Amino acid sequence: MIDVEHKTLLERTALGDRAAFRELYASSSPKLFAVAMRVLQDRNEAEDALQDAYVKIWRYAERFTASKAPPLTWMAAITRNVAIDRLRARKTPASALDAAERVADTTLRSDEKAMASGNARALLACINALGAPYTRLVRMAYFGGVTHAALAERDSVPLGTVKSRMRRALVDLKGCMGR
Amino acid sequence: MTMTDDDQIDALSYVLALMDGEERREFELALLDDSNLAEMVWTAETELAPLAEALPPRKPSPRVLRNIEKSLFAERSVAPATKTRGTPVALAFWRSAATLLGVAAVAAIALAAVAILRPETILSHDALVAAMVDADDSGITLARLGRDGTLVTAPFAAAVEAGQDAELWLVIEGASPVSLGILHADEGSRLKMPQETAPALLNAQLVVTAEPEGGSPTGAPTGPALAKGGFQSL
Repeated sequence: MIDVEHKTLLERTALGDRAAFRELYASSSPKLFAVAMRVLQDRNEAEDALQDAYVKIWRYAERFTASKAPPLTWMAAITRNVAIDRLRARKTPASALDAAERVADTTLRSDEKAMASGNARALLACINALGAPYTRLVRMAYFGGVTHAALAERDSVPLGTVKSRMRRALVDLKGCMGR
Repeated sequence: MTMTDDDQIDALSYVLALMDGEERREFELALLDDSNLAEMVWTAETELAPLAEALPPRKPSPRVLRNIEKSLFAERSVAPATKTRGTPVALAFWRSAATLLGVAAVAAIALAAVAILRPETILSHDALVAAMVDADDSGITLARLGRDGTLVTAPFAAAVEAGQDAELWLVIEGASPVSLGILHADEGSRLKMPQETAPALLNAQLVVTAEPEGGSPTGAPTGPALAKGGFQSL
């Protein structure tokens, strides 16, 4: 199992094992780079983000166990956070939302085809059950493209209204995922 | 419908990156104090992970790994204290300490604090322990940070020349070293940590330098490094 391998490599990395870290990089970087690319949509920016992410993974490897998350989930969360911070430093919320909209049609459909495992199908069913526009918004949001403020600005709706509508959608989503 | 509490929705909203700048930072601050909330964030991360796993893998350029290794492993060695000849070596040491602490030492202290306020870096409020390792590997000195902000250290293991004292410094990325006090060979010390540094401690280093008796005359480290170490949460 790849997860078991990643876990061992992370544990060795936490002890300062550079060879293990390099192996971890070799086996996980294509996945993490894909995450950074989707968020930033720019190869150079994504490579810089990936670099920052692995520096953190090395430094914080000993905290992986405490998160109780699967290894790839832990590493992907670090990468996504780094990339989203970079995205937001570079773009206004409105232009990040525009950029996410532009790629959404092609990318969301092809992602969906790849979501074949039981977990992935269940998650997709929960997100799809939200209906328009939340199905699309949630999937774009995960890659950093959506903020409450950006939606309020685009739709000329008060921020509080956007937040409370989104919150209702998230309550449904959480309820469905928890089942 | 399943009962879902507000914190769970906040955690989901955080993981979906819906919060804007300041609100996002505030949430991360709250995470630092609240291990239940941090756990909810990890639950949401795990639930949504299939969205990331669905992406087709892409190969980054080989320069990325080179840069990572350069920033992590270059200039790692610290000159042994016995071979130091005063200021130039001490300066070199501080540069390498900066390399150890982060990619660039130019980040403001606020940024350093923000950098650790991430789910991957959540620390529990349990005791923090530091180990200071002598530069020539002849021994380690342990220190423990209590809940009241007092750092209790064991007697300092390394030898200090006559007429000198071992002074302990707190080094946080992007900020000047802060003196915590003098360490003694025959007894432990109880030192007060500056309150405002608490959030950055897991990224901080403790460094001991040889200073004139009574401590550095300038308020900044002037002598060679005798030992250093970081904090670990227990």
